[in-house]
Amino acid sequence: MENVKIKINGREIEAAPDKTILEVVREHELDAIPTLCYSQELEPYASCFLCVVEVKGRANLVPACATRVAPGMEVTTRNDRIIESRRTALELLVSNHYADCISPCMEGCPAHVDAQGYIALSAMGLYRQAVDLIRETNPLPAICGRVCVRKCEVVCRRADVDKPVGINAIKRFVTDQPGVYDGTPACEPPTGKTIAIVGAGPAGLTAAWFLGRQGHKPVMYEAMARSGGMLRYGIPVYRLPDEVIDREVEYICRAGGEIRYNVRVGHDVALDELMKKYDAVFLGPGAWAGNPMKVEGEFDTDGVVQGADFLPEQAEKPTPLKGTVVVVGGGNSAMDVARTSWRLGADKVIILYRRTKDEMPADRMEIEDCLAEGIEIMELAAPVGILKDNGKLKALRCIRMKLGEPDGSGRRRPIPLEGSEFDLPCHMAVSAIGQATRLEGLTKSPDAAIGLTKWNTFVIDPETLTTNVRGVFAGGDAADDGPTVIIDAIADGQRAARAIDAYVKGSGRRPRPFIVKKEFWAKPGKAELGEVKESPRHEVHQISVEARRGSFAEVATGFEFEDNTHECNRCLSCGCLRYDTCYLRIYAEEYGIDMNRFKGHVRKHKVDDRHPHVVYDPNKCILCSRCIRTCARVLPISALGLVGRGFRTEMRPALNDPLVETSCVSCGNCVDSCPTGALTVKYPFPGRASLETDDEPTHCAYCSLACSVTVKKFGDGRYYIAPSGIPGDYLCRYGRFGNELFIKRKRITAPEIRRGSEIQTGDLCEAQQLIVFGMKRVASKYGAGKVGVFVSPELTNEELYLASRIAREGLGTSNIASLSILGTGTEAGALDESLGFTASTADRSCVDGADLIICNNTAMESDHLILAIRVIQAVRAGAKLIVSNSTLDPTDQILSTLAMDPMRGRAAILWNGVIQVLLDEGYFSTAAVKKIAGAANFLKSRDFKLDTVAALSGVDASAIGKAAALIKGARRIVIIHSPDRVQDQAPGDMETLANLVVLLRAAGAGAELVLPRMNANSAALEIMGADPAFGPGRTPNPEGVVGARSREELRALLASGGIKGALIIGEDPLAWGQTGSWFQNVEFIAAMDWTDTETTRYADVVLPGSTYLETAGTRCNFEGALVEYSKTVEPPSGSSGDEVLRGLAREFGLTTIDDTTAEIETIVRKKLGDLARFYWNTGEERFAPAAKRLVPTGAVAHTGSIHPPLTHGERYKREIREVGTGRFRVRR
Amino acid sequence: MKKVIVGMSTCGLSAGSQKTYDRLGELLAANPGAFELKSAGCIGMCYREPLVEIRENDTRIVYGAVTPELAEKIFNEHVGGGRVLEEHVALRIEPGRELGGSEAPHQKNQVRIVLRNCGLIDPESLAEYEAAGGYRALRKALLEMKPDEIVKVVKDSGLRGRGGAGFPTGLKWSFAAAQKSDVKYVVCNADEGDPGAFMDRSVLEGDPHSVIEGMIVCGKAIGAHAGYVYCRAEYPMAIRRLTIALEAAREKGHLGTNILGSGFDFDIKIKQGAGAFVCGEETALFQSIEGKRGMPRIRPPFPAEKGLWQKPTNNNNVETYANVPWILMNGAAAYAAYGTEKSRGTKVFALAGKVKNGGLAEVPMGIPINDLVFKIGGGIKEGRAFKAVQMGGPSGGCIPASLGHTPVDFESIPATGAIMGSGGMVVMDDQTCMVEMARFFLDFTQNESCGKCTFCRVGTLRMLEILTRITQGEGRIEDIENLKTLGAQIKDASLCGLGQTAPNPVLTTIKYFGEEYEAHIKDKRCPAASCTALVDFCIDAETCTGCTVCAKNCPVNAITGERKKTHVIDTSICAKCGKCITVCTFGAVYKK
Repeated sequence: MENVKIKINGREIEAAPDKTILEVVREHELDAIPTLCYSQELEPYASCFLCVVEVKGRANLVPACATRVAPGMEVTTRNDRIIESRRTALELLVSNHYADCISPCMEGCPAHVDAQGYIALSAMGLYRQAVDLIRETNPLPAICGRVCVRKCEVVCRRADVDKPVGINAIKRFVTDQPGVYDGTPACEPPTGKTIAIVGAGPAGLTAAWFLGRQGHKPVMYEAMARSGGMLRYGIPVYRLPDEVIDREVEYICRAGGEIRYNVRVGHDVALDELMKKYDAVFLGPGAWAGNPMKVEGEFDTDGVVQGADFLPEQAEKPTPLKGTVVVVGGGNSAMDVARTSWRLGADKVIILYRRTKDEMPADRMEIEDCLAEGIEIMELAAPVGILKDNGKLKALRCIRMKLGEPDGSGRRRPIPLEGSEFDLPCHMAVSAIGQATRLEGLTKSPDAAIGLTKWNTFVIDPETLTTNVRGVFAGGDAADDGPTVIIDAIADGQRAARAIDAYVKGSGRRPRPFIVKKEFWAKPGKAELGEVKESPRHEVHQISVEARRGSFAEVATGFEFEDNTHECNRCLSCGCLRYDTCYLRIYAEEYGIDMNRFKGHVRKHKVDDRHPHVVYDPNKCILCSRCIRTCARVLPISALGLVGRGFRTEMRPALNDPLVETSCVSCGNCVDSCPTGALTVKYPFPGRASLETDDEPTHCAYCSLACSVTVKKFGDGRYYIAPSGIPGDYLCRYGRFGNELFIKRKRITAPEIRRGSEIQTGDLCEAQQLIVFGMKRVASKYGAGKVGVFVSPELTNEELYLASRIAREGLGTSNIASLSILGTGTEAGALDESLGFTASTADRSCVDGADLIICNNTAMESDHLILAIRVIQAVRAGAKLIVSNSTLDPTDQILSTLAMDPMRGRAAILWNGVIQVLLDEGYFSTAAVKKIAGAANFLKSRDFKLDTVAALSGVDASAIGKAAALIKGARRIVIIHSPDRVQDQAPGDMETLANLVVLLRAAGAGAELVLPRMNANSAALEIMGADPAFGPGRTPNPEGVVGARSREELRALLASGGIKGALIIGEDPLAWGQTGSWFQNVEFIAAMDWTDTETTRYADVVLPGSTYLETAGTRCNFEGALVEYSKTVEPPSGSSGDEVLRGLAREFGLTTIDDTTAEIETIVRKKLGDLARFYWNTGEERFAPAAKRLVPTGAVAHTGSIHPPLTHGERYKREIREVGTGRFRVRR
Repeated sequence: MKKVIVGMSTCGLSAGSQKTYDRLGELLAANPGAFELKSAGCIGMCYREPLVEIRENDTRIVYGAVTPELAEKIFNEHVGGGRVLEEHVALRIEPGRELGGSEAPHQKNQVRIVLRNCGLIDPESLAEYEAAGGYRALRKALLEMKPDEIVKVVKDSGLRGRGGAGFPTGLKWSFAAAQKSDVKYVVCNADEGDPGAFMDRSVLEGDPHSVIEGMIVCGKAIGAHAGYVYCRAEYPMAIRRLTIALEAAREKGHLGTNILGSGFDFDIKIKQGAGAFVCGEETALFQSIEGKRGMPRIRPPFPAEKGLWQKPTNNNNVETYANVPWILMNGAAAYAAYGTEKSRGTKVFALAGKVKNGGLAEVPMGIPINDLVFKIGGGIKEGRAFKAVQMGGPSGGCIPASLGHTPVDFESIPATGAIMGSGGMVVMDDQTCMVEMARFFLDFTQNESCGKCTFCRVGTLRMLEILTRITQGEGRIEDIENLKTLGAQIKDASLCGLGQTAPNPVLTTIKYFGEEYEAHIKDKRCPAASCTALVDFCIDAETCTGCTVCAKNCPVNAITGERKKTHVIDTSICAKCGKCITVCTFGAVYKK
């Protein structure tokens, strides 16, 4: 069809007529049209209505995703009406989005520290990552971990179940781990901008940290001799040791900050000067003055001191105390003064407070510690006078109080009781009733005075922290509402740095981050949390009260490992895992929506986390149906659907069952399709949070399809697997979740050596030498023909190559093969005669254009879901499907035109019968057939009578006729056959199908044979030399090498117990009776594996192997394409499989093994040609010789297939199926 | 012999015609051969059911509200004695004479094309249909006409789709006919779902063969060989009669292979819908027939190109197909003679609500709304004031009495903001609160939204919440503007007709009765005294006789008063249950 000319936003565009407006706009990058329901790989659906555009002549807005271009169309993609409509759509969606974008703890923290995130990382054991995550918002994690007031814990949802999670203690725990202060923080390149910071307290330090990381040069001017401000001078060291502050400050300065000590700005250096010299100034001087008790004589009595002076003095130089100390006040400072006095030796310490303990602003824990330390708290009393003797304090005159009506702070107002005065004798009285600022020299600038509040603090913009003077910013205790808590100062420093960065760069404000939280509607209750078991909160450990007296040792010692694990597990992970990638949130932010506009009824649902891999939160579902449509694309029976009508419509698994009980095959593709956080995957380890990952591409090695995957890593050993991200790329359950076994199963992390009856871990080199010794000993005793090397068809080409050379050059034997392949009876080279090579004749794309697909002995959906998706698509596009199998997957049942179930081992007879019918009907013209070598013989000896075939195969003659008719009616035929699948294997089946392919081609039809293999690298075994007949590159066995010359011979040798020494790599023959019996007489077994198996348990020496994610290398997929695998995960043993094997080869005396890559490249290039594919390259089509053809007679019994020795692929597949649903059931 | 014909459609049965029929059956059993007992469909006078017709030669006398007792009297006096019970005669039809009977004034303005057989023939008898001229059009179409000739006749007749949108039927057929495909479908939409609409049900119950005949003709015209009637399962009688009709037609060779020896094959299946309103939308309807959840999809592709099972499909509603045989037999010009220039022919309306004569009426297009309400409907019940009509069900809009002169056709009605719709016409009097009325219809559409489009799924609920709030006296000043804005946006950005029209009742009532919204919001007053939260119950001192019945029945003891003295309702206690109004025999309790 001809292209159409259209106008988009006034621009003339030429577009293909089948394109939608959205596709054209994206293709030409004309505008960013938002959409939630559109997906490139699915049919247009049009439900979210975000993508609306105006088309001239149409009264209504149209969805760009579903409207195809037409000649002369004039489209506008952005104007007020469109933007309003999109905004309304977003507002409506969000009005029913009962969810938390971020956790309440993160929201409740003034600095918005991602507590859920660092708890998740801590749960994973990734402490460095956890600390770095905290530092993204708060550079003082160790300090906060000790003394923060924990606003996060106040709002913790866990409190609805039992008690809040010990968030702060977890923070302290991670900062206490070794290595978390190593290295240099990552910073932007230097900008050349300098910023002066007044005060190296929490606000100043925080600002310096972020400014430094943004590439600016912050210089802190500190009046005191040491850093930390009130952290150091206001908090006693038994709560916050100096080393903790030093460690933190030192790390902050590694981001480029510099501190100039003993410089008081306004005294030693003028503010003007800083303003001239620096690009911006941040004022964070703190509040260092005490509030007076307002009692006569308090300033001229010896023994009456200000808490604000007392604590810094004691921090500088502790002085012993005696007698009774009265502390006036109820805040943390009062507690600090009291506890410090007690430590300094005071005989008695009394805290005087005008209200009761319940109204005290101090931390509960602090009050309890005071009481534990024997400090008396005198409630409902206040000082009114001072009694002195010679200018020296004698007693404090006090008055009793009662509590009246609540005041502005919500606490009950204390009212003095007249006539209740009493005298409290004491030697020292400390006033600790709040702090005030001292701002001398900090308020004047050349142009104007910096604005002050009535509390003598800087007036600032709460968002940007700017003062009224350009370039001057202020924060911390000295700004706005005055002295607060550390985390507020940190939040100020953070916001100031952001504003200063924007100011010096001249960039504008960023849009306000948009978040949804459940509290917008109502505070969620316990019921919504579902089944959460009560679990007691662990508190930090403390030293004994006895140990505290006279000592300034840190009281709290923090968490033990178990405490941390316990508390991490108590986290409910309230925040959304898709915070960063939720398109609803991103668009809501972009379009600046107003949540209040459509506030109304909101649907509340419980989260369904019963599925082993997938969590469904219906509250976050926006009904775009992408998951439903993806599921329907993957499966012929959808596991997902819509239920209900109107506002009550919901996405639900079929028949409203839990997802785990539906036909779900746990492929997880629905999760990828979700534009919000409604569907998420469960990580195979504790912890759930929206965290950044390092993404590395590689391929899956569960079967020979070698799908592209992305390994998403949180850090060492913590990762999950996602698809490649290329539209149309799906994964099956093995590809996506199979790796979970690598984490869950016990790993072999070091060589194991059997010494007598004991197994000891040993040194790699020693283990390798022992293997060489053991194998050579057996070889010299019985001859090299009695030892063998057995390799898994999952190994990389590099590993197979090394194993092959170890066998031939190291041991002098040709006994090398895969036991799995020997076991399954797959005939290596079975198609060499027919096709030129035993492999698929085409790549998977041949399925797309097929009009007839024949699946023989293939459990497509269970074993090769990703290939099955192609088959399903082809069938939906009109292709016919013939299935020949004893078990039928739902795909087969629903989609097949013809399903046949030949008797076990008789499939070849069946297909020969079909060929016969086609010959009889003249479909294969004799002339054409005769051109093919071997045809004359075939024609002469044919004796596949229809009724004989029907009787022998157990398939009705009419079905055979129908199969032939379907084949006759097709022009492009694809035959899919799983050579490794034992269930419906039959002698000669592959050759018969190959014959059919050759005949069909001769008859002018397109025909391809596709051979999906169970194991990742089955197709490369021979070419890499893992075969008795050939060495690497299908070279003949070298002179002097002895042993079996074919797989049949090797199998016979094994069956007769002839193998006396075996090196088994990645296979587990001892797990199965029949293959196990082959090794009964063996004298030496060496095994190599990543996990413990029956074989490793019996082996004399075990080498640590690695998983496919841990070994770099290549494999050949079922199409014959060379696929690269990268090492995305570190092997726990420290060495990948190929490295271990290379070391072993070296011990065997092999040389020229260092650069196997080049050697393998050569082999593959030579054999596979330029396209790196090795199929169909002979150019000659031949029949199998008559001798190899199987003539059906009743006497030919199927030899039966033995159970395959499990390779890992199959072992995991079984286990993954067990953890998944494994049902594959069909509802009828 | 006299024929005694009982109206046995859903309207008749619900009025008790089964008992009447049974009584007549007993009388017949006792007096064998005295008369011939028959049943028929709805003649349209639903408000006078059960109807019993005595037919002798060409004289037809229809009695209204015939109880078993009256039936016996009719048998004794009319059937037996030949004496007509004049006071019970609803309609008298005699050749050469003017229409008689009490209902004649309401019936004489009607033109019965679609309803030509309804109430006259036994819908379960193919013979009666054929006797009335049935299947002659089929014979003509199959044996004498070429497909394009059929399409031309339908085009020339000016027939437009009677489902509501009014797309020219002949044009639609020509699109489907132009498609090249081995497989095409003819679909009949009988998923009549508007509250208060029952035109299609009556046609299927009263004259199923006319629809079948129309569908076969369409099949011939477009080259389809299979048809579906998608009928809601809530119409069991329609489905039963249709099933009987299909079997009879098949037996007679009007359906199946080689119909009437023409070589043309056609057959029809019934697909029962499960009660989802949205399945009346054609793309959702196709999904439902295919066994999927009924959800609309975007058009294009239009059904003529890709409809049922992705094949070219022609979809019309019941009434449209029922017109076709008449047009073929009487000619396009005869049909086009009725109606207006752009809206030809007749239209069946279902009159409901506060109108006196609730029932079916078939009138030429273009008659004024006032004529429908007053001349045919007989005016408003209890002599109250005519306030408005809601046309087109929940998708439609409200037309105020002040626009009562508006002609009913496809051009004039949309100009008011309402739509023609399929023929539902709900009449409202001055006691109807327009805000509550809009709320009612929006509640319906919200519940029936398929949930696909954001605006329709969530937006209609948000509008509903605002309306509910207004009727409860909690409206805010900005609500009217919000309703208008959101309403416009919902219309603007919804995929199918349901969403695109859902705000119509709200928008039209705001347009014509804006002051009623304002009264609710600003004055906290419901002018129609209908919204419970905004009215007080009072007792009229003049009318009250002090009988104490109200006080005795009040569940919250809010009514006080001495015997034979005026009673008073304490509004601070009153729960507004309305019991007092029900029990007062003097009409002394009122709402204000």
